[in-house]
Order: sequence, then structure tokens, then C-alpha cells
Amino acid sequence: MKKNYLFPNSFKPVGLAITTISLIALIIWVCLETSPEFKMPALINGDLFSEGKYFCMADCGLLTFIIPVLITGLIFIGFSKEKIEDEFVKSIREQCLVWATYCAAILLVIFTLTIYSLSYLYAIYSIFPLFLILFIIKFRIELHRANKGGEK
Amino acid sequence: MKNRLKIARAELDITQEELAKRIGVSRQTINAVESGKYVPSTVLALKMAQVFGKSVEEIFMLEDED
Repeated sequence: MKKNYLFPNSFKPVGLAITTISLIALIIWVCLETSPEFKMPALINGDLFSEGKYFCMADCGLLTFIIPVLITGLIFIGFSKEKIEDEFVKSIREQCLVWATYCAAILLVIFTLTIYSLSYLYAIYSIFPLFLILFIIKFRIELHRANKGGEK
Repeated sequence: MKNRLKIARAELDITQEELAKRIGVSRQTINAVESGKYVPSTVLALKMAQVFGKSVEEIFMLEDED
């Protein structure tokens, strides 16, 4: 199967820039005592199966915009092709994805069992970015290890 | 699976980098195959054999545990 769903290598610096900007925005959001609020169209706003809570407008904070941008940046970093994207790199990528999935699952279980109330919502927000960050770190370490050995 | 890649490369007097360029992979891939850390696909094994003018079986051999 020749097809792969990776972005071109040129997307990596774009991803780095987007991630940096969104991380700075995230730090500002954490430091701000009051965050600006916006009205956004929502699929569901409130409890499931309650009346009048579907397809309405909802109040949302800055975090609603920061997280999708951060995820986009991390996706560009993690899923852009390497300069030489061959089958060995592909196998390393697959192994690191499996490893990161296990780590994210363990974190999700720990968060679910130990974090409650509104903090749990923030913990759930952080799961996918954490999964991507763990994958990127593991992938870079494994590539670095592979680069070290052998003759030039 | 063991291989005679390093010996075949020495016979042809080419570096890992040169071999990698000829078959369109990274040097790290050649190094990983040589050191037995990575088992190449059929396509890559055939490309390597082609460079050395040998059959795949002359470069890659199955071991008892395979």
C-alpha cells in the first residue's frame, strides 16, 4: 500500500510556528484572571437529552480557540514527512504511535479516577495535545537513536 | 534473520551512505538492517540484492528461530 496520509516536510516549520503561538496564548490565558467570552454556534449546550439545548448559541472562552489551533500545530509537527521518509522511519513512527496511545490511555484512566468537577474538563481538554506531544518526543528520541549508530 | 550486507558492501567497496543513495533510503535504514535491528521489506531486499548483483538469498538468510 503506497498511500500515506502524511503532510509534506515543509509543514513542519509551519507546525512549529503555530504550536509556539498557541502555547504563548495558553500561558497568557492561564495568567489572565478574566478571559474574554464569545458566542459560538453549538451542537449541544447543556445536558444530553434535555430540551432546547441543541443547535443553539453558547458562551465560550479563549481556550475553545487555543486548543484546536494547538492541535493543528502539533499534527503538522508530528505528521509531516521526514526529509527521507522510508520504510524504516515509517516503522519507527508506527511504534511510537502505539507507545503514545498506551500512555494517553493510562493518563485518561488516571485523570478519570483522580480528577473531578471543572478540573476534569480541563484534564480531558489536555489529553489529545498530550498524546501528540508524547508521540512527537518519543519519535524524535527514536530517530536520534537511529541516527547515532553506524558509519557515515 | 541474519544478513551479509556488510560483507557484500565491503566487496563492492561502497559506504552505507552510497548504498542508501542508490536505493533511495536513509543511511540509518542501511545501518539498522546491517545491525539486525530492522528486517527490510521484500522490495528493499530486492533493491539491495540488485545493487550487489546477487540473489536475495545470498544476502539475507533465515535463522532457526525465524
